[in-house]
Amino acid sequence: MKELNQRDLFPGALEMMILQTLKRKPLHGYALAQHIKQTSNDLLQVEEGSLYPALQRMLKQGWVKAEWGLSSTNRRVRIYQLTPAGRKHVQQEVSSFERMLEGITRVLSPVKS
Amino acid sequence: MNWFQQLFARHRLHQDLSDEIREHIEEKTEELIAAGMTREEAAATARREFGNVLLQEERSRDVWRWPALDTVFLEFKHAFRYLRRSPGFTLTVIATLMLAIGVNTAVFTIVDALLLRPLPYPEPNRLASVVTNITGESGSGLSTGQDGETWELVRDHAPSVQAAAYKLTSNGVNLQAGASIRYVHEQRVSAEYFDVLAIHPILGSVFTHEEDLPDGPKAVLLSYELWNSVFNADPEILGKTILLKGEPYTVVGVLPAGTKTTAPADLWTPLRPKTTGEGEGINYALLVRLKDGVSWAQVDTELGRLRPHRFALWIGNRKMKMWLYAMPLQRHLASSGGDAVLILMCAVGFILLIACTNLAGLLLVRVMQRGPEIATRMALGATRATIVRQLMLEPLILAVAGGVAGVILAAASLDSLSKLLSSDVRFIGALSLDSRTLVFTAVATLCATLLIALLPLLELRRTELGFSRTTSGRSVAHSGRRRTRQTLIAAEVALTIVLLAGAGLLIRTLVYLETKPSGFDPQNVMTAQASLNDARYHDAAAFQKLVRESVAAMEKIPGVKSAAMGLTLPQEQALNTGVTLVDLPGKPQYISNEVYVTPEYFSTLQIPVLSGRTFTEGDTAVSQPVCVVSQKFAQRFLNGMEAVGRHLETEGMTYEIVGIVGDVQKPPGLSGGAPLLIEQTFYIPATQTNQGALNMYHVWFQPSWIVRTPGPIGGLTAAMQRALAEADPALPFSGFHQMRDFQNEALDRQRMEVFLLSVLAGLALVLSIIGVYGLVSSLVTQRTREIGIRMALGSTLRRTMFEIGKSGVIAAAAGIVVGLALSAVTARLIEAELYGVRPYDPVTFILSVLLLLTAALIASLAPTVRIARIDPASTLRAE
Repeated sequence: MKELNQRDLFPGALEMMILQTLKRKPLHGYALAQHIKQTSNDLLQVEEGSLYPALQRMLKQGWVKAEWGLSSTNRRVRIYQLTPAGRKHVQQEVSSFERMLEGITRVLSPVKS
Repeated sequence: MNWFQQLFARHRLHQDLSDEIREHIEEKTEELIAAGMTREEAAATARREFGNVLLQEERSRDVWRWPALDTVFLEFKHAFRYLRRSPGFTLTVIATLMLAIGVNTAVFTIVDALLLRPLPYPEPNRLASVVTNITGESGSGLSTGQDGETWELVRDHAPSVQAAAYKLTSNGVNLQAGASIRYVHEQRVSAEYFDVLAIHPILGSVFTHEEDLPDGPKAVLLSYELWNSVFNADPEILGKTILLKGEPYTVVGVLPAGTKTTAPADLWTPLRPKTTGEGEGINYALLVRLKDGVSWAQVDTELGRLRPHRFALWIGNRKMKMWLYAMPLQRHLASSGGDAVLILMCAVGFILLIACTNLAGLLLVRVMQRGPEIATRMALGATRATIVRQLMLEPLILAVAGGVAGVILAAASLDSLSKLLSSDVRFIGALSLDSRTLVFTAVATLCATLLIALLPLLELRRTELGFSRTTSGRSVAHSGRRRTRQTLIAAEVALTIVLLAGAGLLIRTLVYLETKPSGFDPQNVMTAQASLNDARYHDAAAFQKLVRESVAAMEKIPGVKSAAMGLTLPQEQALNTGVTLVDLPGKPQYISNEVYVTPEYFSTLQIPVLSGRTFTEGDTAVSQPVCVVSQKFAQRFLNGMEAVGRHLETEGMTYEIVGIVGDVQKPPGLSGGAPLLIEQTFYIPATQTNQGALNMYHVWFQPSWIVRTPGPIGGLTAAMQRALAEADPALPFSGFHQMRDFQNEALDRQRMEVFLLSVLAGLALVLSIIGVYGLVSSLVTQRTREIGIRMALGSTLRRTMFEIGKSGVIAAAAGIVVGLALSAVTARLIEAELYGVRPYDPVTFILSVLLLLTAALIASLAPTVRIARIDPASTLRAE
């Protein structure tokens, strides 16, 4: 059963969050999952596994690239890095998302009588 | 990553993904342990928070897939696997389709070569022949021959076309090249001919108008091949003279390699058309090219206005209409074989239909057997579209395999097929599998797929989930399905009857033509032809000397019983000429065949002498002119009066009739009709020919030398050539033929039609038998339980066999009835090809029906023998 404060993410939201996170620095899958969870203060419950189909989609689109490397804890991990195309894409997405959010907020804000 | 790399990198991608996910879970587990959990707890939590590993992996992989393609690939794999499981079925279907599509492709190559492939000239669809349409009380017809006057009318009064005249057929002539004499083919064409076809010589130029005048300079154009082989591609050939027909001709040009004109030829000379002599008869053909922007209707209007004098003469006071019009050149050139080929195309189309009907029946059974499987899959959520796709895939794979095999079969049979065609058909173009043929085959294959798949698909619509799953094929066979199959088989049988009756009618025609008395004995007679269209023989004395000396030399060949020479032979087209019976009241005029012969002509061919005498050495150029008439001549023109002693006049000479000989077969020359028939003929001695007529004869005909031997003799042809060389060392024989070959040649087309249609009818019969057998056989299998119950309830074996076998016989009987009705229509279509047999020949129809009925009975009863082995008790228990 889902709790009320947990909602499904809208399509593309996960990708946007991943790209935004990777903008700061390249990360591997587990680290990505942890980061998204922590920065959203556990408000957004993302099933960790669902990260991977999203990552594969972005690989295919050419927004990110992946290489095997070593993590800070000395594990063999696959590190994802933003490509120039991905950087461009995330900028467009974020700005259009912000416009959408602004619209929603205006509609939802109490009407002045 | 492009799609190509993706395809090969896929495995690597999957491996990376699995590794990555494993590492993810391990990392999480270790972190949880570090936070104080036990290893078991940590592992479980890590997995829970990750979610369904398999599902996520699957989704990740899906990202890289082309979903539609992968599904289709999988379905193909299934269909192939399913087909491999029943090799007997698969091979039967592929073999059937291979035959059906193979014959269709092969016949289409003929249609293609004859009617579809553009002629090898620029803008071939603007080329036409001027033909005469004749409509009278006895029907309508076309005539392609035109006289000199018509040529001048078209040339001068049809401004919307560019016109040329030519001789429709080429002549064999002698070409002297160095010391040897070659026999080559000459086509005579007017000055405009090559311009109309748009053929440009690679050396020199085409004929000038001066060269095309009746007494103009003698000029010749060479084919590239002749220039190469005989003149060693001499670049200085222009202006040189060559000796053709014994006269010097100046070479004015060489045509490009591979040039094809309207008749097979090695060299061309000017036609020199005139309105007298040969120009009085319809000895020319007219070729026109429509000028730019001119419509066919415009040309026909212009041509329709032209009224040559001969129209009025021919029509007289009869109710007839004659007019000129333009027929596309391709249609004209193909007309000799076009109709026969279209009949053949229909026949092979029938074969494809029959084959598909049969296979549809087979596939229907398969789908019925798969009923439970399909129902289960639908219950498990397969969409109707998926099932339909799968049911279509199987026929598609089978049809494509059959189509490919069919094309290979057709390609392999092209050589023997082109040998079957008569030479004038072959000339138009070699048979080959070009892109048009392949498109045709692809369409035929697609149609086959649809035809085969259609019934099972209709069946699918009937499939009700519950019904199919529980009852499968075990219960009483669905009567609706049986009726569907019965209808299919009836259709097959109907088409088979049409083919059988058609083949039967043609076989009876051929038998009639072959067994008709020829009037002479062709066994052990060798013939040789030589062209006397030669300046040296324009003098009658030289001709007489040649005949006398050569025949005498041939008589001396060891083993030769007798030797003779004549203008034409029986079963060979003869000269037509006008004769006047001067003794009869009113001096009636008739048209008859005329042949000049040497005295031993009749004995060598064993043509019986019915009354009077034949010629002797005593009939010379200076003795009383005499002639011999055929029995038909005497009956037709003298109505039983005594013929011997009467006189006939032809070409300015009066001959006394001294004898009557038996009739011999000739190809039709005077009247249309069977390829070999009896026509009135008179014979004159070779010594008593009129000088002027002689030269005319030898332009049109090559005389034949004939020798009779007691049996086959080795080296006979060489001995004959040596004998001729004794009289004239520079005269080559153009060819040798066994006398019996003439009959074969005359009946070539009939034989080809009979052969092909019989093969097709046989094929159809076999397919129908398989269809009937398949129907009854599957009924026995499906109704085993019902049969068990019947037998247990006391039905006799015989009655049960009849009950089951009945469905096959009923289907066949229905098919026969429909087939007979169809044949009534098709027999009329081939009426023009029938001789000595009426289109509704009862013998043919009864035999066809009996043959098919017997076959259907056997095919229906054979599978019911299995019923005898059914044990009622065990079948009932098995349920």
